[in-house]
Amino acid sequence: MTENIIIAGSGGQGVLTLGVYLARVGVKEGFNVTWLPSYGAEKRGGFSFCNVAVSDSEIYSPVIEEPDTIIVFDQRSLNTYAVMARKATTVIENSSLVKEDAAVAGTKIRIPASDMANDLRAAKVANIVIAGAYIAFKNIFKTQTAETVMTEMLGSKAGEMLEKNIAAFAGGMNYIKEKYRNRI
Amino acid sequence: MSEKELIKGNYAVVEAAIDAGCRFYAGYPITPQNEIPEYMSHMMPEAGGTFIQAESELISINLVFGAAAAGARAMTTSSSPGISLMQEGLSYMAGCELPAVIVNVMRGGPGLGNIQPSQADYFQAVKPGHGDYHMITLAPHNLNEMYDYTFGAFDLADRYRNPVIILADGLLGQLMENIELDRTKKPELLNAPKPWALTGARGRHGQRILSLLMQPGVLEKHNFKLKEKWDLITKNEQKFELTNMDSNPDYLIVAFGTVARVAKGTIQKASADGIKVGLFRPITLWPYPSEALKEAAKNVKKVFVFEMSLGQMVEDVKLALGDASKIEFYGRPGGGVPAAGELYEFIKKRVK
Repeated sequence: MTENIIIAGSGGQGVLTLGVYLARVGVKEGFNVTWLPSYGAEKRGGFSFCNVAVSDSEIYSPVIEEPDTIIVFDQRSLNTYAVMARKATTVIENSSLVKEDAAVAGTKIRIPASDMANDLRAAKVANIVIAGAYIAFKNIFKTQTAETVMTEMLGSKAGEMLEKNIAAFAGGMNYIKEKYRNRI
Repeated sequence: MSEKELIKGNYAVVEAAIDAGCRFYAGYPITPQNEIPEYMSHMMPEAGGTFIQAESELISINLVFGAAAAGARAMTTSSSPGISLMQEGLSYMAGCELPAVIVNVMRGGPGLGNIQPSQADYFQAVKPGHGDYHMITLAPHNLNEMYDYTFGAFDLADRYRNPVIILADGLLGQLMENIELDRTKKPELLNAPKPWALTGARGRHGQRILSLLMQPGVLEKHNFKLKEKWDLITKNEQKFELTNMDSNPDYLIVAFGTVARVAKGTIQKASADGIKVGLFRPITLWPYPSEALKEAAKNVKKVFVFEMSLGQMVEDVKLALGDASKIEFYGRPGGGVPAAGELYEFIKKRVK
């Protein structure tokens, strides 16, 4: 099993954190994992992306050439990375910010993650909405592992923030189970 | 017991240094190695050691010079332009026979360059600054090795009383990967006596550590003494890794560090097309495992040398093989990281 994920968006959207989160879930499930961030002179609003590779064998190149999943948080990221999609690629779009429903190679998932996060009065959990959608759709990681890692990562920030993250995660999962139930 | 951890390459360096008993660190910020001094500033005081953010790389290496002279396990880290500034100090330390560990998380150059991964400091590490000297140079290609080689470097430095360089790159520094840390391992020479160290002359005659040897003949003799050490290191410390050599490959890739790891993916792609390619990965860049490379390349039709530079290690490959006619070089300078498929395309066009 090999799952190569590219996550792209703008600084402040939780792109790198989502990558670390999925990487930690992968490690917890016993896979080999690499997480490679972009590390240019990023600032809030600047371009941000990372590569996450998950495999049951040795991972050679952490630089992903053929993504199995592309997650894009905004229009600019889709415009940049859509070209990497192949027939077998799943493209997950944050439809709150990717307004054009343009054709891409592979399977396309659209989820209004930013709007759903705003409904929870926690704009920064949009990445966790996406995480829930990703885990529900791809069915590679166990939901329970994902919840355990979330609690670990939030650590001392548990409490209200943990509740919002759990709600965001469940929201993302349920959205997929409803809207894409024939596809999972 | 070993534990599986998801850890960033730069943090793995810090964990290794602390576990190896390093208790003196001096450094100055530079991307892509900033997480080393950042994490070290927490970890070193916790371990009871000294952390100094110096005002420049010149000061960093001279602080390490002083700490090593006093017998401490000492370390500094930087990235390419910062390592350039340290060359004078490194030559002095080699001349004075002082142990220290230096990590270079290489970035694109020349000049201030950029902050992307590079291997263009190969020359700077293995054919370093002024005077006849060498530094043992280790090239990790994953994060387990970032830990293991850094850990082992302190014993190597003490054993030969010489600076040891860990030659990593921005990708290995910034990458996170799950690694298995063997926390039961103990550094061998941590408590070995250092009778040469400047620890105060109470109850004994004073001693000096000098790199200035002005009397005619004295420096020449000192250099011949150092030469015996270089020969001993060359005999004892060469390390390399072979991949897919059991298949009797028709072609051989020579690559180190990040590129070696990418090349393993290339081998897999070639193998799927029925092209047998092996990999020779030097782990010690100095001393270069020349004889082993010669042996590995004996029966292949071509030797592909891949680097993230315009071609530096390829010179040592030519020296080792004594015949450049089989060698094909491909390099990405200035921060470019080759992909497995890209290297395979290069090979495919040159094999029949």
